[in-house]
Amino acid sequence: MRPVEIGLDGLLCLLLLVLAWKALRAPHLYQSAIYFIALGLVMALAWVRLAAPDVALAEAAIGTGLLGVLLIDSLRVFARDSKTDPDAESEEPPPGEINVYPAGSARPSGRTLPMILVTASCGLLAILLVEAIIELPDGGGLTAAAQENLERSGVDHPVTAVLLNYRGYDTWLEVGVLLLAMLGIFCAGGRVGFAETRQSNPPGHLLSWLIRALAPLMILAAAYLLWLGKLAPGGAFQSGVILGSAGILLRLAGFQVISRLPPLAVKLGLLLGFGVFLIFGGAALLTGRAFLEYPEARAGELILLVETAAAVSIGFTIFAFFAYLNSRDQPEAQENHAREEGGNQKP
Amino acid sequence: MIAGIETHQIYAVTAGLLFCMSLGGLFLCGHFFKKIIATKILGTAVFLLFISLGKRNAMEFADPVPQAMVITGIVVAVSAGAFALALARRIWRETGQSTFEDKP
Amino acid sequence: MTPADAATIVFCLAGAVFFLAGTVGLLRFPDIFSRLHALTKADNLGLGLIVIGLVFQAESIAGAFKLLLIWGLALAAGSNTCYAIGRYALERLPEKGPKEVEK
Repeated sequence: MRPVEIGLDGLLCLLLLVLAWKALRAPHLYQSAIYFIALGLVMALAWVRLAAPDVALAEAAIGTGLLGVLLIDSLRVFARDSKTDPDAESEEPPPGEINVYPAGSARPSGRTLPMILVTASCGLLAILLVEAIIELPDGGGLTAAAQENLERSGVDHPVTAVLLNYRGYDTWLEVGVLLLAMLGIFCAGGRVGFAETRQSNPPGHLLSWLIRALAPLMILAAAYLLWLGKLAPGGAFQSGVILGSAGILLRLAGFQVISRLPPLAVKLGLLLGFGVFLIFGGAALLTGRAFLEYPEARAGELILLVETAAAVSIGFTIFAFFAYLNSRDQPEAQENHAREEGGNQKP
Repeated sequence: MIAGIETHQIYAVTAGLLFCMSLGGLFLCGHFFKKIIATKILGTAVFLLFISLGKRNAMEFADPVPQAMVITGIVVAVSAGAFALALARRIWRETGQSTFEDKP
Repeated sequence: MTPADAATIVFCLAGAVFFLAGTVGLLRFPDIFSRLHALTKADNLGLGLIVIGLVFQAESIAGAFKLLLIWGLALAAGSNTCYAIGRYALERLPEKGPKEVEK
């Protein structure tokens, strides 16, 4: 390996460590969130260096983009003083308050012993881990096995083959985890339905023009990535995330996407991916094959169908995460109830 | 000696260090928000180790199996993170608490 | 080294210079508006030059077109972000001095 490459990798790794340290140690939560987003973007570069472009796409889009939006949106809630009157809660907090919210004060003082203990044990663990990682033997891996069966899988990109054919179970259950997380968020939020957010400062003409222009382009890009997943990095996850972010952008620009949809369509959108996997798995069982085993001749088409359903469902779910968390938290159950009866039905 | 270092080794060691750093952060940071960030970094460190070990004997493309699992993992980690944020926000809304400590 | 490679090196280096200057400006400029100014130069020109450099390496016309499309999208997104931040800062100007609005 050339020294230039070692220098680049070393610099990236150093940057990763520094950003992680800063994210954990920043005095303000807002800075913490920004450092975390920066960490995710540098991590995407690290994935590219490790020859894993699929992971880089997923990390940049989901790990950083979506979670970053959710984190910053949550700051809006945490920055709000819980003791203020309910009327004030509907207003956006002044921007200064987000910045000055101290996280350091959350740690109780006079707890040096646990701190020393934790630091020492983590340091010891670090030494042992690094030692173990260096000692690991080379070799192993499943690259050859994945390549060998590629022809039978119906797609030409090994990562997609693993995701949707060899390890279809994982992907199915993962779509299930998304669904579960959505249900959990409904429970934690204490309400169902996506209340409209009153924008305290509506987006300008420029922004709303841009988003109007970008939304179709993003849907096109999502379709392209989905189709490309057969031969090259891309696929259901990345495409779903682009769909989801198109929805998030539309909502941020003030277009009420999800609350316009009939409640049944919302539920169907959330369930689609999981359901299609289940139907295909069941059909495979009925015709005497293993669960989620595709007939070899038609594997390509079937995988594309399952992928499309999964992408739509993933996009819909992550958009729903944001739409739900972003809609106004209402402590008053009555107002909540009235709103739901007007707009959304309880499932 | 420097010429003997491979890309995956650098990243694997970094992953180990990141893991320990965020584990410490998980214990020492009080605020839910930071605990969630620490958990996310913890997960990312595991993914980094996984992928860099998958790169050990690959030529131009890393081992696809860990890659597929990490993509799955990223999505699951984000869903868990979103759920954790929702829980933290509910706790904050109901009790005004943002840490596990009892209020003085 | 072919002429295409030489052009790539020249354009990418020029782009890197713009990124470096933009970063220095972001760190050194005193208030939010001059920082935005520095940042947008890096985004627009730096990325543009690097994209032009990479176009010489593109395998097909479609590939080159995609690279240029990335630049166009980054331009649109970058100028909008800049506009949004600037507008946000400007709305807060009366209450606070320009210095406090930064970050």
